[in-house]
Amino acid sequence: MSQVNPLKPTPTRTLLEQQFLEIRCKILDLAAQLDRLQRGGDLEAIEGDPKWTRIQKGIAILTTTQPAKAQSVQELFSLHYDPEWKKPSPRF
Amino acid sequence: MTGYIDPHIHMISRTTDDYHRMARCGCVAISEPAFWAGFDRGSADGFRDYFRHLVEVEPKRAAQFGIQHYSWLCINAKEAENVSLSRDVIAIIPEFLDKPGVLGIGEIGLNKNTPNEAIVFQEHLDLAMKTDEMILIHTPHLEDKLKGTRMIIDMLKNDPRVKPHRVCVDHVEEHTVHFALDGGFWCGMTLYPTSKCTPSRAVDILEMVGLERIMVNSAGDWGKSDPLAVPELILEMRRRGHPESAIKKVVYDNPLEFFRQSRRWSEPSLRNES
Repeated sequence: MSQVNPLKPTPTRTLLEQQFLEIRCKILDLAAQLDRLQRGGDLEAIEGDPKWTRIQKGIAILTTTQPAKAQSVQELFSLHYDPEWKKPSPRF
Repeated sequence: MTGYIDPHIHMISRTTDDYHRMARCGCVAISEPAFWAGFDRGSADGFRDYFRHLVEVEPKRAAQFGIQHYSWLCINAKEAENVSLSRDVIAIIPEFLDKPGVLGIGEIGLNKNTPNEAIVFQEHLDLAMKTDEMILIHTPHLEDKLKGTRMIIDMLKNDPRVKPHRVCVDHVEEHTVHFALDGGFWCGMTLYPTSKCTPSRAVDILEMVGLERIMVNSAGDWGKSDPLAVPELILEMRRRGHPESAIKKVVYDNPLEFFRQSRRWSEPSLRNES
C-alpha cells in the first residue's frame, strides 16, 4: 500500500491486559474440544485423517513466533491452487 | 452516531424489523447483490421475478426507514453449475440494468471452483464489459476460498477490458486480501459470527493493509448472520482508539466512492450525522 496507514496497532502490553481473559477462554475452549475428541475413545482411528493432521499443524502454528499466524492458518486450511488451470476465453 | 453504508446485505431474506434496527444504528444506504435463494430455481422466469423484487420492492421497503437501496444483478455461482439456465438468466439481465438503483453485475464468482462456474463467470464478465457495468464478486467459502479467489483474479486479469477500480472482490480474508488489493481491485470483508471475518479480525486486517479500496459488510441473509455487523466493527475500531475519520472512511466514504463509479449513479441525499 503506497499511502500511510492511519491505524496504529494497540501496544502489546495494553492488548495483553485487555485480551487476557478472552485469549484464556479461547485456549480453554480448544483444550476442551481436544479432550472431547480423546474421550470419544478412538483417537488412533483418526491418526492420518487429513482433518486431524491439519488441526495438529494449525495448533503448531500458534506456538511459533512467526508473524501473520492467521494467514498461515488460513493457508493451511486451503485447497491447492494450480496457476495453469484451463481458463475460459473472453468473448470480445 | 456514525452514518454507515452496508455494501452487501440480502434484505430479501431479512425482516422489516431489521431495516428498522439498522436505521436506528445509523445505516443510511445498502447494496443488495443477487444471490442463491437457498434452493436452485427452475427457470429464468424465477429470476425475472427475483430481479423485480430487488429493483422494485426492496427500495420501497428500505425507504420507509430513510435507507437508500441499491442492487446488483446476476445468477449466483452456486446455480451457475447449470450453464444452460445461467445463459437464459444472463440474457434477461439487460432488461433490468437501467432500473433506478442498479449498480452493476453481481455477486458473480465461484463456489466450488468448477469449469462450469468459470464459464458462467466469464460470460457475466462479457456482459458487464459490453454494457459498461461495475462488478461485485463473491469469493468461495472456507477451503475453496484461496484457490477460487486466485482463479477469479486470473480471469479478471486475462480480460483486458476489465478496469480493476470498477471491480470489488468480496469476502476477502487474511490469505486473500493482498491478491485483491495488489491487483488494483476494491475489496470487501464480510463480518460473520463464525465463518469469514469477525469484526476483530477485520480491524486487524485494516491495521495491516490500510484504508484504501476496502469496505466491510454484513452479508446478512437467511443463514447465521448479523445485519448489525457493521456497527459492531465501528465499536471495535472505537475500542482500539482509532480515529472517527478512519471509521467513517471505511464504513461510509469508501462504499460511496466505489458506488459513484456506476454509470447510472445519481447522488442521493444521505443522512450522515458524523
